[in-house]
Amino acid sequence: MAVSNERSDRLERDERSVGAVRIANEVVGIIAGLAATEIKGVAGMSGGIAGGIAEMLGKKNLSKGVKVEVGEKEAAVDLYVIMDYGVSIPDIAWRVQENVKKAIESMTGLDVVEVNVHVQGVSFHQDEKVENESRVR
Amino acid sequence: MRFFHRLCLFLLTLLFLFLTFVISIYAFGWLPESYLTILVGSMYSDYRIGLLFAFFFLLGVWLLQSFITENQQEQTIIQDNDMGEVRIASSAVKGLVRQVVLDQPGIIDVKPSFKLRGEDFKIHLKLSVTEDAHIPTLSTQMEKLVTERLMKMAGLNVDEVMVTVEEVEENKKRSNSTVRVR
Repeated sequence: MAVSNERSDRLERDERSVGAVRIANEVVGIIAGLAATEIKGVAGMSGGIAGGIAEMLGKKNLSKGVKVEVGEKEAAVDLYVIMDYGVSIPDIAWRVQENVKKAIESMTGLDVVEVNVHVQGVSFHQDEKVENESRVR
Repeated sequence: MRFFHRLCLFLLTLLFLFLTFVISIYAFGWLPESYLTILVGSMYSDYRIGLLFAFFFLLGVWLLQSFITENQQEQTIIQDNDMGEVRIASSAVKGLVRQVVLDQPGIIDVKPSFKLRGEDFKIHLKLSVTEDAHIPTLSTQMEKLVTERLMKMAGLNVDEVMVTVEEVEENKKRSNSTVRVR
């Protein structure tokens, strides 16, 4: 409570002295995307058809699979992720929610009101790698 | 991809093949120059052809839209906490079930399908098994395994698992392919 009061005070002071600070959706999206993929068990982000085409054309999209709504003081995030096979999806999703909330709040000062995780697929690549390594010795 | 999507895609592909074929042979000069003019001219003010192509156009738009929004559909909520919701796509659940079932010996292929009404979640597995598999044991095992694994990995509570053995195949291919390195 004390922390949020301090934060709003700081914002008000900024507005009075030098102007308002606004953070672009893209920036919050990149922070959320990076924070989500940091968690072990997340294989990657799912960007849909448009994201796939952009990637094929060589555009690196760090906010791939992230939808954000940014207000003046609050933000809501939707993450479209692919999980590794074998992990507990609810546990990993909970860690992703926590990490994303923490990262956005500490880097931007925005209050994250919602982090929704949409699991779009499960990746089996880890197993394939292990199989390939142990085929011939 | 659903049957209706596949049918629409088939129709549009046929139309596309026809148009590209006509245009390409015309461009190579293998058709008399007047042919295309006659063909295009005969379409002018013909509302039947207009309706037909408008139908194909709308079909294409609908198909494209359904492919783009496909990822946003058919999701199941598996967790709802104070930080937000966790949803899982049915394609992801299908992938999980497929992998869990195929990891078991005696199973060659599986086609999973789901029914979700309210909180009632039912799974139907259509299996192809090897000839040496004991089907009643395998079916019971599958029911238990799929229920346990989906609860453990996705937090999904499965109410019913139905197993249908659709095919029994010889496991010749498997035994031949496994002896690769000695």
